[in-house]
Amino acid sequence: MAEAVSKVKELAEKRKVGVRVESGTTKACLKCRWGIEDPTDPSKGQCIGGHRTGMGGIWKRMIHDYYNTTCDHFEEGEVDFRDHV
Amino acid sequence: MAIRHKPIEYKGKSIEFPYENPAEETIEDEYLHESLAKPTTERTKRLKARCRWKHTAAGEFVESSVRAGMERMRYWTEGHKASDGNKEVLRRANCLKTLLDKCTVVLQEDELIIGYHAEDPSMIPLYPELSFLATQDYIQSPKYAPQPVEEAQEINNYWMKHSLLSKCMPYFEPHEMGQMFQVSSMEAPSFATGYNSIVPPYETVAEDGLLKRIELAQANIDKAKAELAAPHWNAPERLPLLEKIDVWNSMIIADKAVISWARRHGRLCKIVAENFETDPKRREELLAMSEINQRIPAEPCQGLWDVMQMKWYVYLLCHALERYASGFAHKEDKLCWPYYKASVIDKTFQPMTHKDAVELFECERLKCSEHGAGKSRAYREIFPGSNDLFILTVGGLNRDGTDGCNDCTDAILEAARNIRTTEPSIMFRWNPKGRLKTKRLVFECVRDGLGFPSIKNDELNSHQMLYYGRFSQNNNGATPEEAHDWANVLCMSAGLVGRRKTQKTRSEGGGSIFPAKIMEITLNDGYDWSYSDTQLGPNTGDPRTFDTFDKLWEAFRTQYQYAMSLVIRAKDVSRYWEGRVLQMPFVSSIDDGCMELGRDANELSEQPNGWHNPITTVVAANSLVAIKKLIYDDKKYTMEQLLDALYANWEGFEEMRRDFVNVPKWGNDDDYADGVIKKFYEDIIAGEMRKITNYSGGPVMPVGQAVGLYMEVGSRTGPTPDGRFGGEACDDGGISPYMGTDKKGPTAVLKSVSKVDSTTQKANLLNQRLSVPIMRSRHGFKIWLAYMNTWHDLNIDHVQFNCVSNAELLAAQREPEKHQDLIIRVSGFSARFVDISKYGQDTIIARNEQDFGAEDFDFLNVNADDLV
Ligand code: SF4
Repeated sequence: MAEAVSKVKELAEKRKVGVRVESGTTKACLKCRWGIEDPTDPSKGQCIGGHRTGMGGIWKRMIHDYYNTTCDHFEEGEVDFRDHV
Repeated sequence: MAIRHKPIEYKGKSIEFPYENPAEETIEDEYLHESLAKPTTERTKRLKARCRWKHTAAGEFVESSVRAGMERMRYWTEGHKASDGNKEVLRRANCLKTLLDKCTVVLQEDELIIGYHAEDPSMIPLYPELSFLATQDYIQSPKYAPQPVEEAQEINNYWMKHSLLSKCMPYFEPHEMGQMFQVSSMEAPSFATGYNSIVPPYETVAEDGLLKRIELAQANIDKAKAELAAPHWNAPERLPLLEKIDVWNSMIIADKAVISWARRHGRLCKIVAENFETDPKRREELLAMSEINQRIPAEPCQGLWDVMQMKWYVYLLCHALERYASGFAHKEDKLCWPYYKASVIDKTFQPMTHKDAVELFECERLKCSEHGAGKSRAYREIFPGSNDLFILTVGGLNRDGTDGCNDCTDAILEAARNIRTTEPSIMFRWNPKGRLKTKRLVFECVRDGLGFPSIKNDELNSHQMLYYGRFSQNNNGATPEEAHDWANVLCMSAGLVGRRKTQKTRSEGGGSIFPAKIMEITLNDGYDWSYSDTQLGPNTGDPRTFDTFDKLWEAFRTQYQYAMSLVIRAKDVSRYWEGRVLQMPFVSSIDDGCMELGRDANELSEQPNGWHNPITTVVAANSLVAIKKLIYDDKKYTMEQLLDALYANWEGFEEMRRDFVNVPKWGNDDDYADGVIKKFYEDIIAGEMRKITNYSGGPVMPVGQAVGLYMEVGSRTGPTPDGRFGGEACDDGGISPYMGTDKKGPTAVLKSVSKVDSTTQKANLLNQRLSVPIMRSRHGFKIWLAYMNTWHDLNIDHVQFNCVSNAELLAAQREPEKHQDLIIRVSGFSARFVDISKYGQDTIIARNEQDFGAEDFDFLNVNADDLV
């Protein structure tokens, strides 16, 4: 079982496609067009961009540290609700 | 030009489908719904044109002018601080009094029903005492933050230690909180979000008036004090009276404050009439409103205008001022009928015509549309295209078993059809005794694409009220007469209405669990690789080692039971604290049970009504069918291969995905698929839930539905074995087939759905899309009525319809500004189509438009001779 779990964790890591914690980054998810607050706790967040599926669907990912996480898809701005879920 | 339905050969006849209204044949299909609104009067036309809609989508308000107000949080907090040291129930009464004494009262042009819950009708109030997290989200937002923001932050900091969340948190481990908060396998607990629902006992205010309620509370206090002072002191018997006296005193404080708040509105009407209004007709109206607001809700209602104003005040108090709560639960035709009769038929008080009554109901609809809920982000995400859940109930039977439909029911339906607003939604209780005239109006609303009334099986739900009553802890559950007095609490679930025993908090029933995500983590030993990268459930083993389908089934059961027990525990811990720190003196004062027993409305439970909402059940169920068939029965693939395909989001596994997509799906009357899925609904979804006993001592039953969570959870769920890609929307409701997979017509759907024993579930939402040219044809009503009668005979709980063409939906996607009146049924609520995201819109377009054929007519017993 340990092997299976480590494979799943590896996959979770793969889904991060360059998403990383960079303490004090100026390009945090908080400021990114594709980042929105977590539905319950606004100190966490959700990423809705950068990970669109081949079909154009929106496959969100939870951002545990919304203020210090970033990735290469960072875009400043705000997303229009029509491009959201 | 509209496109007519092609003729159908049925029982030797060629049935033609000319439009019932020939003028519609000249309207282009793309713009049909823009031609249907017909406000009853110029007033309601103006009110609709200037309505400040508060629709939300994707967690944001669609209109840019909406922002958070300061008054509610400021005065509530002032009242709390000023009463430091008092019993909490009295502090809560003081909070309400401070708010009602000091808040701005709002009167707007043209209105016949007045009252708003913030200092400006563009604003929404906030509730830091319910959820400092939700309030913080508003404070952080440059768009919505209440001003001055420093004051708002200080207030929110104060509530961090006093709020419901801080009281409940110590009873949960951090990982449990994390699992609930992320809204992927479970909805977050209400103690964190502040989300709530309630069924206010409007009847006591209409029939008694608040002055009478104050008298009752005072008499109870006097009696209790006499008992305390009587000789032969007995501590165990008499000490409980102290708390009761506090509760009755809190009721008096609250009711007096409400009367004085209503009278402030009355004085404002008079001041405007006497000093500012130049139109003599409006001046007269304002003076009449001044008189009503002086009298109501202090005294009993006497006419229809009285009861409409009373209802709005009680709504604001129970849903927006004393505590936030979603919903608009009441049986409106029954509640208003005596006053409709007095005003419209007997003309003994506030005499008016039926058309005047329709105008009043239109005015009420527009009050709902303008209402703004200061709810948390999660709930701004999951009712896209609407402002909040407003669902009222009509139809069914009276207490004595006679038809509950009356001319007031018709006025409510006519208002909905004429004004065309997304809210309030209506639920119609379908009973064979219901009169045809009213059913025809239900049809017209459905045919015009409102998405409501949704329809529920009257007898099934009355029986359910009796069933729950059996578990009453004080042996005071629903009587057979009271069991006829039910309405939807929110979108789907029945609850009692009336003077007592109504549901007061969502910790009794409500909240969701998401089987699709649970299916996903069952395949990963409880781990969530696709959204949160956390352990989301218990370790149930590597599915590659499951040599039988039963082992997978049992692993799913374990994951589901874990989540269910956690969410119900969270609700009951919440309920425990709601009775201690969120007392509702006003609500308690208008409930006969609370008044008699001196108990707070959160704490007293006479009629259990426990439920929880499984949402995304069909994705999980179709996935189980696919796994059973292809891995365990046919052995075409191994679990290892399936997991590899899922981890790759099916990329590079196209042929394999096709096989998984092509396995029979729910809603096609397929015995293989339906056999597995029936067992899934009855054994796991309901069976596991019913093993739980909640705060009220009754079972918890499933209410399958979806709201907009089928989209949100879909976007947080990876690929699934039914062939779905990661991030795609899940099934849109309860027992509805997955969009586009019900390929065998409307009657096959009914046959599949009827295989699940309705009495094992509390409710189950069925979304159907009907053919526009058939419904708008001369035969539309007859065919729909035959469908409804069959639906009823199959003992199905619920059905609701979209009746809008893809041509019109696609046109609205291209040019949203030209389609402001296009309404669609999402799931449990209706939405303005152009106010939802493209992701959401595409899920509506993807639903199969159910056409009817000769076989369907045959199954529905449509008489060919009638179709001429
Ligand atoms: S695209 Fe990158 S930076 Fe932007 S929200 Fe997503 S993870 Fe954060």
